[in-house]
Amino acid sequence: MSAITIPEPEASVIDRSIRSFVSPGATLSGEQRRSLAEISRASMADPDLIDRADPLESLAVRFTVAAHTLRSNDVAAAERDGIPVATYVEVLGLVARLVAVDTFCFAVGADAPVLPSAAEGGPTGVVATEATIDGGWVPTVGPAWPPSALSLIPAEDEALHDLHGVFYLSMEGMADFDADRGLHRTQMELVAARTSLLNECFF
Amino acid sequence: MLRASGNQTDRPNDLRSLVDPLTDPLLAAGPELLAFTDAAILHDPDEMPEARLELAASAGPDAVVRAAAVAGNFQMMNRLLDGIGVKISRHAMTLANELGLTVPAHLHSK
Repeated sequence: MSAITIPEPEASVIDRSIRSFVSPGATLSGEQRRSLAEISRASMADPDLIDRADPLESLAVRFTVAAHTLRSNDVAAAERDGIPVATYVEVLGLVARLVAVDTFCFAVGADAPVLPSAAEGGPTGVVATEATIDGGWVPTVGPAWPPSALSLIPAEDEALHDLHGVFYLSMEGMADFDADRGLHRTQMELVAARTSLLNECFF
Repeated sequence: MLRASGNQTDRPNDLRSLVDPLTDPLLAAGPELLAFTDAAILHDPDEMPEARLELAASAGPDAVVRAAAVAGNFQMMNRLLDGIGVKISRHAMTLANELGLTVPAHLHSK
């Protein structure tokens, strides 16, 4: 068995994700987002790319290969490097979703989807102005928690929930401990827990 | 969540399998799921095809799709939580201690 057929819901969410990676975001153009996605991908094979001169590129690589080394002062350091917190969160969302898509494709034996040309247009400027620091390092709408992780940037937040619902469970569906989607919930949690352990993530 | 889902649905499991490869997870296709997850997260092109084949043989192709998707989802969630500094709960701290894991100080709840 060389590859598994990707079902329609997963294929569709991957397509939506890929298009979002090359479309204008809240603070970055489509071209900037596409470029960061390419660097993130390259760093999966070459983690030394973390030492790039461009602070935004370096941050994208760190999110990709060394997120567990991040500390609260990294947000302030990014701001000193000219990266506003909204851009920090936007790039975090972009990279995290890209790694999710590429991990899925690798695991089922499919090629990583090609990034299309960037969509034209400047940043949308849409951020959640009501977000505040509430237990995390970056502003969130409500307490900093998995469902609110990207809530400062509504487009990234929506994309996160879209991918989460198709790949795993909707946030509401997480209350169903007897869920069965090809794997029983307990089996899904075994995969989730092992993934977190390998990533040195203790959540 | 593994312990909670097992308790809620009366499905025994052994969390020590997460840190000890010699421990059986006690779940259907458990060893195959762990091998598949390791190959996917460590991006091991040598191990991935065999791990995929063995999981498909043990649990079917739908299980392969879901295991890949869940691994991908938690690649995402792990980065998000590390990136925004979400503190871990006391319950998770207890569980980490149980498994012999040391939680970095910056993740401790106050």
